[in-house]
Amino acid sequence: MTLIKLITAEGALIEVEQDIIEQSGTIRNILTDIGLTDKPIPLPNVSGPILTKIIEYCMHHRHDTSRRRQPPSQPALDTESDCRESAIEEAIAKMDDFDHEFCRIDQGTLFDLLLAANFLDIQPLLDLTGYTVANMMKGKTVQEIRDTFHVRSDFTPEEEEQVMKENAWCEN
Amino acid sequence: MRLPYDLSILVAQLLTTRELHVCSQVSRSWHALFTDESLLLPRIQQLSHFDQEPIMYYSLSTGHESGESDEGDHKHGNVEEPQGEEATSERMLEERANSQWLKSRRVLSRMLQKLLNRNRRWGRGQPIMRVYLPPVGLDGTQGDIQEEWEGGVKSLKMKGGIVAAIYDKGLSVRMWQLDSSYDEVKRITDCYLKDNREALLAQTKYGGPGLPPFSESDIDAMLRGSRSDKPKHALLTVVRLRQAARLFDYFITSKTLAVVAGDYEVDVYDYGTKKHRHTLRVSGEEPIGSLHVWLDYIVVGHGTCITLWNHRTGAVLEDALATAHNAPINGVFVLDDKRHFMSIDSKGIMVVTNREAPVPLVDTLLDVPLYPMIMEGETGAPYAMRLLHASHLCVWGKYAFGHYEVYEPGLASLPPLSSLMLAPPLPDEAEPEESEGEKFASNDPRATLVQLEATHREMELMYRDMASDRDNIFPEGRRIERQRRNRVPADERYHLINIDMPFEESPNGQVLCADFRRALFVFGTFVDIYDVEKRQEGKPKGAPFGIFPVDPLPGTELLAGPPSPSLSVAAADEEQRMEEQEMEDSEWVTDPSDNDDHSVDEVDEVDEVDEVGEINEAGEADDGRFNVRHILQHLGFGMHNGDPLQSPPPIVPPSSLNASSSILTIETAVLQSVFCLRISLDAPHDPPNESSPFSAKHLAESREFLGKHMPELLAACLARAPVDSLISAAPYYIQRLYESRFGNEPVATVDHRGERTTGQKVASDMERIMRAVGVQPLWSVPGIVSPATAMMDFVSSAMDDSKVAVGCNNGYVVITCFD
Repeated sequence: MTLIKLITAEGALIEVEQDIIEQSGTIRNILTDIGLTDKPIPLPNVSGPILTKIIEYCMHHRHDTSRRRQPPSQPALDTESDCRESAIEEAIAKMDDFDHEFCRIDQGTLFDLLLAANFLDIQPLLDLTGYTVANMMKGKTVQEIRDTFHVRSDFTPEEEEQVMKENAWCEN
Repeated sequence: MRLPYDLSILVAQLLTTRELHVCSQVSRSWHALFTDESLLLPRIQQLSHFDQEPIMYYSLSTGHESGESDEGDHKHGNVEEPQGEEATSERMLEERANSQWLKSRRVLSRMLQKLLNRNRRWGRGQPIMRVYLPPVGLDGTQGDIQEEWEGGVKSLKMKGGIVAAIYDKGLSVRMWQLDSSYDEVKRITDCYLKDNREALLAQTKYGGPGLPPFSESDIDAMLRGSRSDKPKHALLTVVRLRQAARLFDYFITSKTLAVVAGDYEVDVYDYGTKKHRHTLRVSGEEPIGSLHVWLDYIVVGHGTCITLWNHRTGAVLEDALATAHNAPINGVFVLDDKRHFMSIDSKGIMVVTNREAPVPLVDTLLDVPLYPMIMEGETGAPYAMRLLHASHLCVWGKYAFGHYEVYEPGLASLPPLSSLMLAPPLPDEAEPEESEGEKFASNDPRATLVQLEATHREMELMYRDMASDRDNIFPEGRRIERQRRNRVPADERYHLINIDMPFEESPNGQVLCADFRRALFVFGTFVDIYDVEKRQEGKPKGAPFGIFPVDPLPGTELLAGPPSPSLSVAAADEEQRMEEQEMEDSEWVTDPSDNDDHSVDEVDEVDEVDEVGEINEAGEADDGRFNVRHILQHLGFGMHNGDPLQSPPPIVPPSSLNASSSILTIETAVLQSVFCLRISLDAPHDPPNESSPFSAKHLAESREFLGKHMPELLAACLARAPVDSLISAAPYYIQRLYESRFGNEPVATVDHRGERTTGQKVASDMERIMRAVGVQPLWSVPGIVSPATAMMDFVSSAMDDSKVAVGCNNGYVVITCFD
């Protein structure tokens, strides 16, 4: 069992088994390029707590190769949303209890995980966090989304009216 | 969101378009993100074959079209000619300039809005506007009308926002440009191309020098032109023909109009100047059966041969090129820039003909499972087809349609077939393992091709069985079997893949037109929209909509009018009385109208309608009262398809109807209400051997419903109009109610001047024309269906991405708009 040394954004050293962290495309490529090394791999974009969470995720799915898939590339159809909704539902259905619990985190951590999953190229985690963020928007009104993501409207009334008018995409 | 752009886009891609819309209203930065081109453009591309948008069309030199036969849509390609490469380059530049429109967020949003709403309206059969275009000028005198009148619509086409028709006499072509504002868009695009020619030339698919956006004023002009909910004046061009025409086609950019005059000649006109340019003549003895104009070319099918001309120079490029057809060609068009024609014959055989092949026969046969195409006679011939985007082939016969993807020769052109099904329709007796078709799992093109070939071999085995079974009746079976032994290497053959459905017979109705998203079926006075993408086996899914909700009571000379106040009072009294008595639902009703306080006028009306009633079918008594048994027979019929239903529909209480009710439900309820009222009038007391399925409550509800939403129909019903007449009139009212979603405003009716008008005014214009030319319909019923409205049977149709056009017996062209 080979241990890979990683250095977090704070400079902390974390050791993790190779087969676990190789779920990360970024780490896998580094190891392929430079070979196994004792030298720690710096991860300046990933904090210690986030890396710990990611390792937790990878440990849980270390034997689950089916999750190592490509992200869906087709955008959502609106006729409606059937295809995409079902794709999302399928992805959600694949989640196990661990995944559900894993995503019960505050918004800041979720965004950090999404960023880290992207940086480390862990596609299933990117999907999971992406779906989780998207689900936070689904079915919500404009105001509910503002509340959820702590966004303040900076439209002037005229702009808001214009946006509503020009982008009234679908009739009810 | 505090996420980088790419991750925000990643998340946004997981949202539906409607959710994107909500998100775009959150804040300025969210608006910028969620209306990003990278998000919206794919949606547009998925939702529609986008360049069928008239706006885009007018910026392109190639065209899309729709009509009854020999249709073709061509986006790419060229035919051999010295100026071919140059022309292709110009088109490429125009397409690049055209695509710049979509860089504007406002244009992108508008396009998406139009597409989404259009799809929703199509799916629900809910148009936004209906435009009525008369066959003659309405500003002239009676003599002018008589002079101009050429009969009913014989043939109709629509492409790029221009609707063109020829009439029974074929002496002229009337062309309406439905929106002249597109000319302005074309002008702006041309200016842009001129100003940015160098940069456009330097573009590649990987990018190129930066291109300036269109100015805000340009975009304003573009958006003004795209407001399809605003009626626009349809600009009319009438091209008088040298000889009477029976087929025609046109190409917008070059303003070329070609008509087949007589059996062997094609007259070419410039419809901008209305001048005749050339007369082209085919050799041989077979009459021309199909015609198509594309770019500088005119291609015709005559007998089993194809002739190709350059209509600018009059040069004959192919003179009676032989094909593999054994039956007269119904439709032909230029398929690609490799000198292929695609054609279909009256037996439904599709053929690709290579102009350069030394022996243009068997070896050029399309590499395609042809089983579905050999149906003929009552099952569908003659066939028509459209080629959309030079890749999607829509073929339909009278009762059947199919959709295919067409791929050029060579392995590289094959699509990724991982999710593609080859599911040729097999006879019922086929073995189960065959009937599921074969799914391609490989992404390796060569392996895919092997699989494709294997599937075709299976198809050939099936053909052989079919041929042996059907030899006596269908001699073409043997010929197909022989021709299926295609000796051309696979790399040199076209591939045609049945994409989403078997080519199957429609259970009811006739196919009007089809593209790869929708098929239109006609059932009596209804047109059904079938959503091709949502079809299930044996259960096509779609929305029906009537196409002619013109007020059938135009003018004042006709009988009938709104019901007298006493009717509604009587209905209310009746309802109250019924509630008091708490009658059982199954109990027979007494005739509430026996005690109605009819006015003198109403009595007169009854007398007059009774006179009409005397000429009706045997089921009706001389005194206008109707045989209950005969009425009840109608309950077992679906008016919608005109066929007997296996079982009568369940009783639908009128009170259960609302804005979300389907048109079929409304239809059922309205008809039942009419029958209920008639039974109560004609057999008020205890018919000994027949029982009514209607309760007293139903009667009261029927009166209330009809009185509120269809007072004209109620009045006619209470006046004992013949039941068949009521059935004939009911669709107009049903449609009006359905389209208005129980509101007060029916779908906007627009006249040829682009002005909102009323159905009654349109119908009055129709009456005026009919009177002037002395044409009488075979039937009409004063007070219910006017003569002009009765002549609105449609005889020709066309569709584009957002409109359905139908040509009628009374010469009117009716455009129903969905965007």
